[in-house]
Amino acid sequence: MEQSNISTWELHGEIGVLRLNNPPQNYLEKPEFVALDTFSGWLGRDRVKGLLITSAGRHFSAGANIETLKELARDPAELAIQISKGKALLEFIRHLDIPVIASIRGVCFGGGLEIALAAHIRVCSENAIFSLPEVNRQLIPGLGGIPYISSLAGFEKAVEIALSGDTINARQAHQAGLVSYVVPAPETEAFSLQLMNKMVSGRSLPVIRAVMQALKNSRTLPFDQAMQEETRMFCELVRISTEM
Amino acid sequence: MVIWGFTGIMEIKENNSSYNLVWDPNPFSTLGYSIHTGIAVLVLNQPPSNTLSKLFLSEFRQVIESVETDNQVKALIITGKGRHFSSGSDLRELAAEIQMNGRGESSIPTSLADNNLLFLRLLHLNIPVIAAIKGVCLGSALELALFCHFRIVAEGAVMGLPESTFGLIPGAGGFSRMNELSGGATALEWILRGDNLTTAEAFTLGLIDQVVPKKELLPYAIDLAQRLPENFHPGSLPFYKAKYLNQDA
Repeated sequence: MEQSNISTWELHGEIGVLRLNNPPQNYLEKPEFVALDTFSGWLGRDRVKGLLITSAGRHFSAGANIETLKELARDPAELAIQISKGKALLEFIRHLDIPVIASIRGVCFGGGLEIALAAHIRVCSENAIFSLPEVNRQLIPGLGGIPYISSLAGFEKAVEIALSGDTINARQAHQAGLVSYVVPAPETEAFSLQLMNKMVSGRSLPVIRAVMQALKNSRTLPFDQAMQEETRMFCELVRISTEM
Repeated sequence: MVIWGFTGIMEIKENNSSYNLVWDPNPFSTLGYSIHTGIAVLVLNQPPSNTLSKLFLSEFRQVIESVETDNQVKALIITGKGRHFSSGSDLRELAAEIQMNGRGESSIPTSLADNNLLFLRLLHLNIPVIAAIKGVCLGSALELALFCHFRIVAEGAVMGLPESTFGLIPGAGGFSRMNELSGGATALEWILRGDNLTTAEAFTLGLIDQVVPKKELLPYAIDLAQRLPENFHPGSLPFYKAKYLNQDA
């Protein structure tokens, strides 16, 4: 097991597990909860086919520690640097060419929720709770929480969650389209690993990358162009498979 | 059992819980096509698997072109002959074509590019297009169904995009359509898994609109086609789905 900032890294076969490891609340301490260089080094070295983001202990993460944040805010320039580092890290995760599952137990607040939203698929425990509590401190989410909830659950839901600061439970999050699966708490991580295995085991990296590219295209290209790109990648894979 | 008053042009019979469709005269070799009281029925007719061959796609194009210009057609139903909808394309036929045309690394054979345009035209038709799915509906056959406006599915049907299990991805817009209907997380998960979906799973994910008993598949599709308004507009699908389907499946 290796460590960077509050996070640790393990391998489960072809799957890398990045664990928020600062229990009990798994406060992020700073937005860059794992050093990007170190993290991308692990991914490159271990050539994993899928990434699981989960936590140690009963909770995913309560987000930023408000005391640490206050400390940091004394130097606005430094705060801006830290936040842009956090954003770069989440963008890096979002654009990985392998699938990323966030496996969420217990509390998933603020920056913790924003990490979960950077994953491609979310699995949570029956006792998971979600919120963007920043508004209660006269703040707003700083790492893309609002737009990414909006893209999953719609604009109205995003406004409601961000402006109320209220918590929503696992069932509500599932109904809103924020999470794909709700499972009993003790099984959450095993279920997530199993799901990832169903997706990547026996799949070649070119196939995984093509599907990830299709996902990216669906967010960035007009529909007919995204469709045409799928066909192009399909042809490329047919060509590769018949040449072998 | 003749479902509705067909004589001569087309007759729909019940036979061992599947429908036999008989048409005459029929200019096509891979599909059956007939129109009755404004409702066109296109039957994939290469049983048992109803393969979507290159020949099928060219005949399919002729049908779509005639539907686009035929004012008497008020709705189009697409279904399969025999027990299944279709098991998708003939991969060997496709691979040969890609080899022939694939001088550049990423060139798309004309037939596949045309196929994409055809699927898009289907989606943009301003009459309702209803896929009546039964038995097996896999690969490009499911992609075809995903480009219809409505997917009515017989109990026990099996749907899936298994391409990733043999080193490929869906090639005719499967990801894009699944992403539109069920979101990126679902498209990513099921396309990489390559597993078959049951009707219950497909319904929960929003991929299909209605599950009906096998014997009621075609009658339900025809009834839906008859009930939908004449001035159908594909942009108002959520409204039609809320109003004209009994979705409590």
